[in-house]
Amino acid sequence: MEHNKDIGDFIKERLTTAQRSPQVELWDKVQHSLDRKKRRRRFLFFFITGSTGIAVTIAVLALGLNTTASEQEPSLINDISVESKNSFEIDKSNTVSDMGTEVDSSEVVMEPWIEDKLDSLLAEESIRIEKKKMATTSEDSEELYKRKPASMDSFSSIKTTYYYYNGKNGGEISTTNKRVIDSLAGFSEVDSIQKRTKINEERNLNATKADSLYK
Amino acid sequence: MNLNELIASCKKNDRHSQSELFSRYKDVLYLTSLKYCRNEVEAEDNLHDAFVTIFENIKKFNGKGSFEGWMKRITINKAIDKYKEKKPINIAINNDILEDTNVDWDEETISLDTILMCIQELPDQYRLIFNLYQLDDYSHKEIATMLGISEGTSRSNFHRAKLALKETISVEMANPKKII
Repeated sequence: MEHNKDIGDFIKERLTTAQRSPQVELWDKVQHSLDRKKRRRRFLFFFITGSTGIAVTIAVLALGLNTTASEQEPSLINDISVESKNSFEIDKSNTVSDMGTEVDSSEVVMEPWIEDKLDSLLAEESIRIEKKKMATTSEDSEELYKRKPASMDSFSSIKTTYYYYNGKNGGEISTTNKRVIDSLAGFSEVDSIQKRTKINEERNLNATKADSLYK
Repeated sequence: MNLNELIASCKKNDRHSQSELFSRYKDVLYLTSLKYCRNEVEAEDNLHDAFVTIFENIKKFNGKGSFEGWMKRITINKAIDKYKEKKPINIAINNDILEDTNVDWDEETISLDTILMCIQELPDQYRLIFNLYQLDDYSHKEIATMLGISEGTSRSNFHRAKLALKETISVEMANPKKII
């Protein structure tokens, strides 16, 4: 039986009642794809969270190291000051003899005004040393931190310290300025040498006079 | 299990419910794929992609409108996406075609397979426009937006598709092929 119809309408009519089935394996493929996408999403989740975690850990570690370093700085300063102290003591034993300026106090005859000057210098120096000790033993980290450059300077360029021991009053003077010691020692030596020279000259003169008289 | 319960279970990624949903709608959506694709293999691929997208986006279905219609739209959109991925063949368009597309049909001699084969043999753009306008009731304006063409092109392509179908089916009626 033939019909005169628009082809579009005819096809539509035929297809509305039609039925076709895909292959049975299609569900397995769909299931596999869903599982794969689920795994990929899970991997992406773990990858992103893991990488974020690692980044955060690295950042925390980096910050922690910085903090530890800044905390260690004061102890480093202490170490430096201890080292400086040690070098200080070494200087005390060696430097004077090395310099050949060791002074035998029994041989030195000092003028009274020099003694006074020496006493005042000793007093000033002892106050300064006390202050230094106080500052070094202070536990204020901020203060230590502020003082860091100075300590570093003292570490980087070790200064020679000179000691002067007064046998009369048991006073001790330490200074980094060599001239102070030189001036103290030099003054006394020159003075004593001059005195000895004078005495010798007088002795020689007296001896000459005695010889001439005897003759 | 009714449809709403099935959808709710599928939203929870229940594999058994997903399998049930697949069984219910695979035939309808496969026929849609067959109309829009060039062959059965392509149609199965399209159906596979459509179901994966359906299960991944089922949470977005808010219950308004037909669930079957929602799934059909996904299937059609998948086919259109595949068409857009390929380089479209530019077809010379003559808007003056006004030939008669009516023909005498002997329903007994034309099988469903023949009709499907004739549709699949149409050029991609013709096939899409014919299916969208004739079989799925989209307007030429909507088709123009979906395919990125003008409304005039959609109209003329539709008419040409019908002419091509008339010619192919006439040949098939005269010399019927054995469809494998």
